[in-house]
Amino acid sequence: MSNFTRSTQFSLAAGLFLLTATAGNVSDTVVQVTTLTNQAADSTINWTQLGADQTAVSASFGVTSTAGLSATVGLAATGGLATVVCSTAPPNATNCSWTGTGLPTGSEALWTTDGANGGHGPVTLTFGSSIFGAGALIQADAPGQFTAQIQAFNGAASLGSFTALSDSAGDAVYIGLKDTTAAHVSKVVFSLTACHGSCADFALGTIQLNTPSTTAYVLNLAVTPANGGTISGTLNGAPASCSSTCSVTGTGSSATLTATPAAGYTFASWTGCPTPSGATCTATLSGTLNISAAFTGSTSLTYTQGALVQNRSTGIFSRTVTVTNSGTAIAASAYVADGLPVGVSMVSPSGTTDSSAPPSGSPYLELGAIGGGGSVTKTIQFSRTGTQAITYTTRILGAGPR
Amino acid sequence: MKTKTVVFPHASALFATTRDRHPQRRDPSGTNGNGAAGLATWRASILCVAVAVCVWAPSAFGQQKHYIKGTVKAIPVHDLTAAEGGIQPAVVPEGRFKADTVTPVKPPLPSWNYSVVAYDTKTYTGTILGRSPYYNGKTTTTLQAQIVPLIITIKDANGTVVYDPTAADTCAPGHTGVDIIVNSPLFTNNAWTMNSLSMGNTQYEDANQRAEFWSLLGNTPFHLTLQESTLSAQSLSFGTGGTSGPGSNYPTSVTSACEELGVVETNDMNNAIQTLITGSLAASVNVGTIPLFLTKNVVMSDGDTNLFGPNCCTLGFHSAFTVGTNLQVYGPFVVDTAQAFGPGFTGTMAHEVGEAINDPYPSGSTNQTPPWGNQGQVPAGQCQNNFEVGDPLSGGGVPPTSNNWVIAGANGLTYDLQELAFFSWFYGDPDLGTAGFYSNHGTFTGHSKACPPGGTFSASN
Repeated sequence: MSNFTRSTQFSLAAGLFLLTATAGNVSDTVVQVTTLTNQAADSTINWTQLGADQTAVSASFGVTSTAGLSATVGLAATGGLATVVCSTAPPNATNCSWTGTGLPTGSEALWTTDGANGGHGPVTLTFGSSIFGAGALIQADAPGQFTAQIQAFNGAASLGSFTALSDSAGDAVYIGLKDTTAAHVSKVVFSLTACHGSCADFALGTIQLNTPSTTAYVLNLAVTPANGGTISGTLNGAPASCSSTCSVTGTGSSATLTATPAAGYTFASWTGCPTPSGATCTATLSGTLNISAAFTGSTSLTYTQGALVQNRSTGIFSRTVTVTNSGTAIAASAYVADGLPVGVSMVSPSGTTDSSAPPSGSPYLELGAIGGGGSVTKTIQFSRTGTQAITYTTRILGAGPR
Repeated sequence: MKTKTVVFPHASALFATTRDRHPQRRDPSGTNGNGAAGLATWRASILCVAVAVCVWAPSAFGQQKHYIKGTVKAIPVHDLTAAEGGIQPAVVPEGRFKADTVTPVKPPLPSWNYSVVAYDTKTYTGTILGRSPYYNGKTTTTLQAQIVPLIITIKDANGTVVYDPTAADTCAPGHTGVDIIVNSPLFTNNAWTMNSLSMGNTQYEDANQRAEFWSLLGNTPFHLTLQESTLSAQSLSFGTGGTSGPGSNYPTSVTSACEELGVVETNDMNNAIQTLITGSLAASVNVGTIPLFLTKNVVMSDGDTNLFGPNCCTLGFHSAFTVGTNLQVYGPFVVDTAQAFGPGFTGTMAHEVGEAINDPYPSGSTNQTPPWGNQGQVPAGQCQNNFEVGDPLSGGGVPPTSNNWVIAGANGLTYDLQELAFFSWFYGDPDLGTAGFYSNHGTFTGHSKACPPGGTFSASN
């Protein structure tokens, strides 16, 4: 997509002008800004750093924003000037060189003059790191109506451009834009596309900037129990992940996290999350934030048992029992034989009865701890007083996780 | 406009008078016609046509030193076929001024256009060199002024005289004609207070431009400065065996001046200068520069070389020829080290350079004004209608005339500079200059009156 150009009458109420542009593989929505208020800049590039009124500038020079963002300013040729906007119109003007209306009096602007009636515009600002948006008041040198333009670029790819028309007197107009998708604006170009006199000759006021935050935010993450799962996501676009305890530092305030349980666990809850939604947590940081995710282990025990085999010399019945744990590791387990007929008793092991679940008093085989995915095999023995069948109901007990 | 001087022997001194001439057609109202094309038309204002009517100032007699009278004039734009740059029009919309369209051209002299509804309700347009005072930004604009010394050799029955402005001068010991001009207030800074307002420490023509448009400028850094450079001297020969035309020498025994005077014909000088511009000087002179050809004690006469004839003497003029869509502005000037035409060296140059800045198109098609007259260089009964800022105040003309600036130079010399009329004197109110004044040294306190009969309003009327 290319050639996205919208024109606006500056006299219109501050509307929203959308532009969708593709920069490389990134599809961005770019919005025109027609007032300084709507730009809502977080920092500025002030031309006072160039020096006093009438200080000459070269065709390319560096500047720094109030937030420390560096930028390179480019003109068509050497010869531009720093110009102070007069507080009083001539003949009473003094200590100033810009008598136009609309730029804040006493402020300093960048003037693209060639020293006569021409100019060295347009003005290109290439930022040290990409930003969300920029804008400025702009005014033609020659009186009369003019059309201003701002173009935005992501590297060499155009993000689009906007224009604004001044009033008939040629008072300064505000022209700016924002990339509402991401901070992809690496360069902006200010120019005039129609004017009286030379369109390369204009003054550009203080540059308003919308930049990614440079505040350091700390996100402390914890997983309970350790290895019960992980937390992953982003802190203002930067990766943030943790499987036990960790601390993530970023320059943005927006965090989106997802809790993912480890095998055998399920997500239980967030602690410290301002806006939890299931396994997802969103947060806007205003400082350090502590967030933990709790996971619960799951028990999944299955068993197999061998056939009862009678030792003819002793009359004792034996069988092997294998319990497999496909869930969370457990600290203890048991094989319970409920409902043994009268005259049938468990002889090995003996003397162990279960009181944990009805019918209580049943004998059981202690299997011990079983790791997650692990199994244990033991042998159980019964005796009988007569010929009754040895039947019972099998119940597996597990205790964990540990 | 071209400057002429008529010399009248009077006892042992010379009685000088100023006169203009405008041989072109005139309209019935008495206004100069200034033919539409004007390419071959000389345009100058005649202050007095005949010797008989040129006697005026009692101060010219008596014990005061008497000078030969020199005048100034402009020569209309000439066509030239060379493809060069020229003047770049700009835009000046403000109040009753309207914007003009702009046709960009290459390496021109910086200039701006105006369109004004004058006091006679008619609309006039024109071009002024420099930066528009109506623009929002105020800064310094520079005009490249090139001093071209002319070493003139004149051979006649009186012998051969070499007039060399680069040589040490016997009448201005320790100086050459060139350094007298280069170190004059036209190219060096002085603190100017015009009509009680400080114009800053600057050159004369800049101070004048600031005062002329003071209401638009005030104490902003708007300046129009002349960046002087001196080119290699050029040699011309006149008179017997000369290649540029006839010429005559006038020894001091005839003139009572400090040094010999030379006289050449005006057209011959103009042709010789144009030949230099398009020939040997082509590598350094172009439409982005103003070559100022400096003669020493050599003046011009129209149609002859008679110092004492009615057609003499032109001390300098400004003119231009078209180069493509642009103008090559130029002018010759005499540095009068002989002190034959008056003191102060730079009266003529101040006049002509001021006019070249404000009226770079010395033709009839632009920079016209409401007819004015009975003032300065234009005698009663005649009218002139161009924006020649020096002419209404030419010394010796219809009073009030120039309240000359007399400036002590850092080099020990004293310079005279002619007062110049403001834009608003020609076109009327609003008064764009220093409030209440219509010239830079307090002489005009009102704008010009319609001509005929002409004259100037004053603060009291």
